[in-house]
Amino acid sequence: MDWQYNQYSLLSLVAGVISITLVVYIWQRRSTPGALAFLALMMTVAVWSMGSFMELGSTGLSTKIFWARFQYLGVSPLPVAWLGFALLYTGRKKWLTRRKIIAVSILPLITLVLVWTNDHHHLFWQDIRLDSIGPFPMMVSDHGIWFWVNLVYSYLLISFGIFCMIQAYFRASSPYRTQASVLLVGAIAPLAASLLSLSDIEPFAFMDTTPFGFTVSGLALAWGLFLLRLLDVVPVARDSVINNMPDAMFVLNTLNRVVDMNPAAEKILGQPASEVLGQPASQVIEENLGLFDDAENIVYGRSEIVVTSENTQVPYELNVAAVFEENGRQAGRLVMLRDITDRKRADTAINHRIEFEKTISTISSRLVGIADINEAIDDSLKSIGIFSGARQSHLFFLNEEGTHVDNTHEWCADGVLPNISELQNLNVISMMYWIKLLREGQVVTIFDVSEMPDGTQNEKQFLEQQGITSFLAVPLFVEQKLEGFIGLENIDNPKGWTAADLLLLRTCSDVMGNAFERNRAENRIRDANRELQTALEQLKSSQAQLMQSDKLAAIGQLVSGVAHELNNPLMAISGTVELMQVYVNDDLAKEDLQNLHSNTMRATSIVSNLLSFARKSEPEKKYISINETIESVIRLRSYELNLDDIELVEYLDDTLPNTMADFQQLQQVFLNFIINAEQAIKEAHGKGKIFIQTRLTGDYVRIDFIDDGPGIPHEVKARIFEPFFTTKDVGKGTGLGLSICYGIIQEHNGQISVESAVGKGTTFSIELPVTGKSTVTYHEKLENSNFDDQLDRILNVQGGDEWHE
Amino acid sequence: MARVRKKAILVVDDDFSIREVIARALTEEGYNVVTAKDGTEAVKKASRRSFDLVFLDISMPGQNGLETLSKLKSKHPSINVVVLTAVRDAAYEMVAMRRHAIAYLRKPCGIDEIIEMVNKMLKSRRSNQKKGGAIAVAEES
Repeated sequence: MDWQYNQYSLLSLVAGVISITLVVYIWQRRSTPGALAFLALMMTVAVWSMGSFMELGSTGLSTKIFWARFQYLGVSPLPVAWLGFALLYTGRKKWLTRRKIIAVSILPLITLVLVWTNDHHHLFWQDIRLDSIGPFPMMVSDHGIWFWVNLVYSYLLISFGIFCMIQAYFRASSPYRTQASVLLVGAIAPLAASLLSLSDIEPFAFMDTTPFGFTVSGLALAWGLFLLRLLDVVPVARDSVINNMPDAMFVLNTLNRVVDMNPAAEKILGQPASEVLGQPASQVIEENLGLFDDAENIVYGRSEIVVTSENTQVPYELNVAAVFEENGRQAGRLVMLRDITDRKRADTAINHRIEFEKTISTISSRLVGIADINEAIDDSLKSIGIFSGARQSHLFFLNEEGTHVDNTHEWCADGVLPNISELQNLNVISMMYWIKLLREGQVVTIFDVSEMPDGTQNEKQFLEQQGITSFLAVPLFVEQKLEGFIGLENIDNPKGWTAADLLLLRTCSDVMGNAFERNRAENRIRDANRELQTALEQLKSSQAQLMQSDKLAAIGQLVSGVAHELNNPLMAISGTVELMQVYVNDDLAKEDLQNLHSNTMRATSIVSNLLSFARKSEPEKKYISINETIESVIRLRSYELNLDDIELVEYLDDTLPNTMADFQQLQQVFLNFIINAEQAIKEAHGKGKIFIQTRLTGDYVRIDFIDDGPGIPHEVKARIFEPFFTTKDVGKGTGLGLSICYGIIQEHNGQISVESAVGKGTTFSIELPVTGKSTVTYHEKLENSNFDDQLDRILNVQGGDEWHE
Repeated sequence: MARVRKKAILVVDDDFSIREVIARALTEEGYNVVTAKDGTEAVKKASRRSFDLVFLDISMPGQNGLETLSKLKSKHPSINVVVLTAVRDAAYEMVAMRRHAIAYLRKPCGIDEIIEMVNKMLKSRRSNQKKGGAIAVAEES
């Protein structure tokens, strides 16, 4: 093959070698985004350049024609590859669909076919010849019609690619100057080369410089692509990011006018950027979104807003950040809106969960501290109702027999009329099916009452009568027994009960069941306590009585000692007086002595009284009738009572059995009560009534002495049985009467008590045990043979042998 | 034996006033009255001469009345003793009776009561000091 050397072919060779090198270089880094388009481009450039080099270097026409045709393997797909690369490079990847690529590639394919079949139709080249006029032989030809078609088409694609590149250059912001410069070189080089090639300037008229332009472009772009990571961070890619990002973005200049915005922003505003750009932010954004109420001067800020459009409410996170130029001057502000619907939804779910747990803890703590369980239940029903969004919540209790239910507690949302009063004593027949379910521990869940199955006619009717549209109920077990149910209901529209509603209701019923259990246990304890309390009080009163007895005994000893001491002087006085009365003749002295004697007698009687109180003689019990004893006393007093205008009424129970008692002692007791009553009445109002009644209560004979006297003040009542306690004037009473009565009744194993209301009257009551006839009496006991020994011990008598019989 | 011997009465009481009152009353009534201020003195005086009646107090210092009663009765089984005491105790009463006191008088009692009793005992019922004789217990009214 002939070969000629010339500098033009050398230029092509350089371009070819560089582009092949680039192909290899790119191939090794083909994973870089956009690398494949770049690879395709550089392969076309390489084919074109090498073809051109061979064409220029060869001498024969047919060889030249072959290489010319060969070049078109690169020339015809190059515009497509360039355009593809430019689109990728400037962030328009989405434009590159398979369909579009094929459409764009049809014309270059036709060109390729026509080039290789030119001999048959000459549509591409009309007349091909070898021109030897120039410095070296060149292939020249007249261009056929398709040549021009292809040329125009190619330049159209190339120009569009260049346009994209240049646009990207101008869009790039300052931090990306270098990358932008690369873009500029990459765009301008093919342009310049093409222009050169079309001009008639020597030496370019002889050759096509276009592939060289692409080679330069390729070098620049490779540098940018691989060394500056152009595609990763290119401004154009940033554009793409910004355009594609879901967050809305507005750029405002210092005059608060919108200077840039992304499609997401257009979407929010519902207006295309063309209508918005250049408008004051306050007009555009504020009117549409209501963002800028007081945001005119916000430099940095973050807040959450809700944008309402038609039926939807979308929550956004609003970020405002100042944008600064390199010199530190504020260039404007960036306003970002991020749709936080999902986050909000998650927040809502978390809040719901928190609310749920709060409700449970409220219910639990409310029902744990049961000061008033009803109040706690009402509060719990309210909490559940509010949480679940139901219109009503309620508690129904089954009656003991399990035949009826009562609505015991309910909570109604605002505007819902309470109907608890209508839901009382309902026959379980109206909810038979439910009760069965609940007994098994199951839940009654009705989302829509209108869709209830046929088998539950009663229940459906029950709910429909109340206008309930959906219903949820869980069993309430107390001590493992179904006691009722708690539930939720809706009345306006069917509501989908949630798992949380159910869980809450379940928890509530558990806690409530526990609370009832505790409550009942507490009641049982309280009852037991009350019984204990009663027992304790009885014990206390017995103890008090014992103490009273002890006191009596102690006082008895004292009194008997003192009384005995008094007896001697009393006897000496009375004896002396009696002696004096014999020999004193003076009348005045006799009178004095008489006075002295009667006073001595009085003193004697007081001492005698004291001694009879102190004397611990056991009663001489006989089988007697209490009624007769009372009647004998009344007979004794009837004259006095008449005189004092006191009406005595007796109601004596005929059926009263006889009992063992000391007739005389009881007489003394009854007499004491009657006389006390007489005196009280006489002092208070001069006339009055005494009512005496007897009756049998259990094993006791009860005797009441009721008067309408002045009553006994509380503080007096407490001490009334104490010895020497008296309210009477000095000399009128020893204060022993009631003590003696007390002692006597005690000796009879009976009880004595007093009830009194000041101004109304007093009731003394005696309870005597009914005891059967006993044959052993006190005196018989004395006959007991051991008694002498006991006496000896008691009296500490020495040497008493002679009186043993 | 025309001369009627005055009946002798021993009054035993630690209380001077009682002794004096009873002694004076009975002396005026025509009895020969000797007094003793305690049990020891009473036993001593009783051994020197015989008494028709003894008034014996129970609560006295030293030898008490019941002991004195035992001693008197052991030395002079036929002696008539009237117990005169301020002590109200059925047990004392029982013991006194078992040791054959002929009466049990409770202080205070009227002088006329005592005189009446002594008169009855020493004038109309001369020999009722024997065992199983009537026991008179002066009850207060």
